[in-house]
Amino acid sequence: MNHKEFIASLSGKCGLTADETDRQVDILLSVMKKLWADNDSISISGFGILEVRKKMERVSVNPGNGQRMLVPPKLVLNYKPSALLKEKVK
Amino acid sequence: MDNKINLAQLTELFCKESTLAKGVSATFVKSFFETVISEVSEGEQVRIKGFGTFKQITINDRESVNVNTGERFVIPGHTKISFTPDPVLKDFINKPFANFETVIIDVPESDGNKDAALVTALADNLNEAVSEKPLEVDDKSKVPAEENNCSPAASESEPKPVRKRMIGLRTLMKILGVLLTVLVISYCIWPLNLMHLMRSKMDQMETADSKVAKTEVVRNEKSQKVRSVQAENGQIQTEDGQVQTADEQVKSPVGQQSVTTGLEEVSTDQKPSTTGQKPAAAEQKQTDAQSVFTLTAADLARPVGSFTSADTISYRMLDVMATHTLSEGETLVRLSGQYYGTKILWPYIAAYNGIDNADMLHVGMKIDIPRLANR
Repeated sequence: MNHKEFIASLSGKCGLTADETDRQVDILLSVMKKLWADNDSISISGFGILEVRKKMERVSVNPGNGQRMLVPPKLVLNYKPSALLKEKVK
Repeated sequence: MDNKINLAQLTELFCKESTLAKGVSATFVKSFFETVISEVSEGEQVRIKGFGTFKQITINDRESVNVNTGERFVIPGHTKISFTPDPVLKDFINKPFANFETVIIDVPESDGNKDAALVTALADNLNEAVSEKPLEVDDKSKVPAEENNCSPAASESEPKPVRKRMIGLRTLMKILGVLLTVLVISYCIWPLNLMHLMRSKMDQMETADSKVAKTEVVRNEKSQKVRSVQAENGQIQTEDGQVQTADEQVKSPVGQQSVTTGLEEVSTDQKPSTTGQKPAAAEQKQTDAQSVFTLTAADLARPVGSFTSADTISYRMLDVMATHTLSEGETLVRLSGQYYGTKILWPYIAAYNGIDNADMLHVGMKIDIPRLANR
């Protein structure tokens, strides 16, 4: 299911036009982005948790030539599905 | 900050931004996630622009070992949901750290690095030895008949092909008259080479008589090689033809190499002997071995590059380089990798902190990381 199909499905459920839905999705994403920027996690029951995690810096070694590299720390968005959804998929 | 936002709170925040009515926006947010859930659980992939992709991935069966009992068991395969954030979102999330870049550490700051270099050097040497093997096969195909007899003996000692080639190479160089080069190169390689030679010679001396005959053939072939090189340069000693056609090894000359270390000269003599008579052969063997043996003893006095391998190197522990507070899932091995760049140095951390059992660590423990220096 690509973006277009997703918008179509969503607009059907909410009774909005496709254009309007697209705009609303953008707004929703920007709201969520703002939350993640503040280090908040979004926890939706039945769906899971979307949160930002910090990965520490690390030394990685190129196995080919033994060269060592210091990989910088980074922030990544992590999704952890809820136990309910996990069970359902299993 | 660090809040957990649930659906109701999210809807509230969304309502503030959106132009939609409260009721509609609540259904919108709810159905947004519900659509994802329903599609993903049906096995569909859901891609949302600016957000990411949700999809199911299958995990294969895998075997694992129960650490307590040592029992093997199979973890059954299953499917799970994966989420890959859109590159745009990824960059946005990582914005605070975007200015960092991967730094290449090429300065050997810790000794662990030296070990790694050594290991790679050793690996290279191994590769060289392996790549030498095809050459040996070529040699075999060239020399007919009697070569077949000695093939098991040849495969007995691995470094032989390398050594054979070295001797041939060095003789060639000498004949070409590049004496200086020979001096330099042999100064480096000769002691090692001789050590191998001596060891294999001694092994051969101790083996049964049947093996003596075999190894003799090997030596014959070696002397053949040396002589054939000489033949090219006109210093031939005519018996070449005899050796090639030596029928059933009734009379085969045994090449004896005597090397005078002072001048780095390799001269090849020939002493015919009858291999049929075992005592004579054994005698020949002894003189052979002796000549080589004295050489080695003289050469052993020379300085040989000191050998160190990654697991025999030892360090002194100086002072505390850092103090680490253990968090969940961390092990001493991991700390060693983090601070020294190699996992094998973890026993130093254990010793420095007086840890007897590295499996009994608890979260929050303070671990001092010692600074290591070469002994």
